[in-house]
Amino acid sequence: MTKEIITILTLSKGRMKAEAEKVFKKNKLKITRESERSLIGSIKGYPNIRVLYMNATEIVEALGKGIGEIGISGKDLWLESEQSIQSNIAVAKEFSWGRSDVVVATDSMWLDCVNPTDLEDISFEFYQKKKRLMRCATKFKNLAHGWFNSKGITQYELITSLGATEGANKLGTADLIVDLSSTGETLRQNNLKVIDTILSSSACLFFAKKSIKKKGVKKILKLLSKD
Amino acid sequence: MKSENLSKILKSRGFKNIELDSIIETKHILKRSGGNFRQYLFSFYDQNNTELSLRSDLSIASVLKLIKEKTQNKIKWSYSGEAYRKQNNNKSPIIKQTGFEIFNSKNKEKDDYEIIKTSLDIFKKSKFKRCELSLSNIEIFNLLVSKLTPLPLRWREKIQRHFSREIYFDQLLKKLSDNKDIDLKLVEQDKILVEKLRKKDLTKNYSGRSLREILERFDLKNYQDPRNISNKKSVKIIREYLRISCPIEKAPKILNSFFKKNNLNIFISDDYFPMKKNNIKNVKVIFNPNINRQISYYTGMTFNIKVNFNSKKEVFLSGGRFDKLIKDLGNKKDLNAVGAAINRSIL
Repeated sequence: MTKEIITILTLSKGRMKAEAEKVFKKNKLKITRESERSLIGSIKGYPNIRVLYMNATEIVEALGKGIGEIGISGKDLWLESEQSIQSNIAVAKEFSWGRSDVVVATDSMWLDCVNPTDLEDISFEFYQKKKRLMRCATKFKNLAHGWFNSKGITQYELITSLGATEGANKLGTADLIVDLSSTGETLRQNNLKVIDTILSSSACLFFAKKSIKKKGVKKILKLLSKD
Repeated sequence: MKSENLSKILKSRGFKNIELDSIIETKHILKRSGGNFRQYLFSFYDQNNTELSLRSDLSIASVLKLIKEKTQNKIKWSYSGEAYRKQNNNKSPIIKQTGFEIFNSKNKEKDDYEIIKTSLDIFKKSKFKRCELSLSNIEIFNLLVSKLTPLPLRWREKIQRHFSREIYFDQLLKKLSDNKDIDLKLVEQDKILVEKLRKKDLTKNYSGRSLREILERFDLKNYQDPRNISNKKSVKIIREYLRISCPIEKAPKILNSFFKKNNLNIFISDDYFPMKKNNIKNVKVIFNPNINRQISYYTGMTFNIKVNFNSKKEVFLSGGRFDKLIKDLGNKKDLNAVGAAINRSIL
């Protein structure tokens, strides 16, 4: 009888890759690959497990679509994903690494703006005086929409920014930003200040809800969740 | 009730049935509903890169049609069809709506009454035997808030602006009660910095705002109209007002004694309500300021009709006056409007 294959999706690059590898290593799950560049691996002693190396955003989407049973990615990316993806995934463990906040940041010269209530006034100022919506640059569109909605801010538009979002104010493409911040240093260097934190994120061990009944999934989750 | 019967009633009351565009420019919807409404839209781009959406609400489509007509006359329209909105739950994205509206009233009070009378006629022809007709008027709420002068002007405007967003409205009242969101230490630090900035180039732009605009708002907030005293009393008055519920004929008296008790110089005559008496068989007419709050564009009289449906009180029909929407959506002139929409799911 052949055993069912369990697919674990892990990070292929970035600062969180090494941390994710440590999780496997310390739990005596040795990943072997044909070469350093290979994006497919296996775990010694577990012939029914395959490891796929992927981009962090793709891991969330793949788990949500049933490609893979277990994955390591960021909580921010999970909560930013579409509802249909998000609801198919659950968190098995929040790690203490990969920490960063999704923050709302405005120009540090906006001294009259210290909280979301001020920002709501300012959004109306944009609409009434400048006859346009206040522009917010972000790659976290869903999280940003939810935050604006919860703060009663309706007069805004989101501008997609997939990189160097902190520069959007200076470039004149946006009036404020919603972005990741770990230490706040990049924000400070770009004359931005945080007026609210939408989410404190860290790396998480995820699993596809549908896969939990699959033989062996619980055991692997337990192993990878060990402190 | 069959939709043909509904059309017959509306036709007999002089409402002309019209067809509405299924696709409208997204900017019109966002202008009325704000940027966060985008998440509910089915939108796409045409060959000229103009963003279009499937209509999310028939009343916007009807107002846009009216703007195109460029009419100066009184118009009575009715329409029926589907609106399309993405839903976060498992509900269907297709919402069936029937509405009827009067635009450019020469006698607003008369037309308010006509909309309510037509609504009651529709109720009488339905399968329901009894109903509760609740009436309110946003003008009374706005008047009340404008008289709460211990509150800074920008906060009074904010409360009026967010009346339709109940959860956020409650958060605002809470903030006003405890003032916990003010960091006095930070304010003092910023005051020192502001004094230095006054000597700089006030026209310089910082992320879409000039330094002058930033300092003007800073001064308004911290010197001219600060929020540094307890606003508990004003908050209590707002909350008590929203709890009032009484038979319509007693509403002016009850409201006036409420305002008098709170030392507010407001007098309400029965002109605020298109129905003055509770004299319709099987219809209970009440004043309730807490109705139709989710509709942000109402500016005056609002009403709804509730019936017992599956052992629950459900809204059968709701409506109100919206005198600013037409100009907000791009008409050059103010054009008043009053209308109602039927909940077709329980018909």
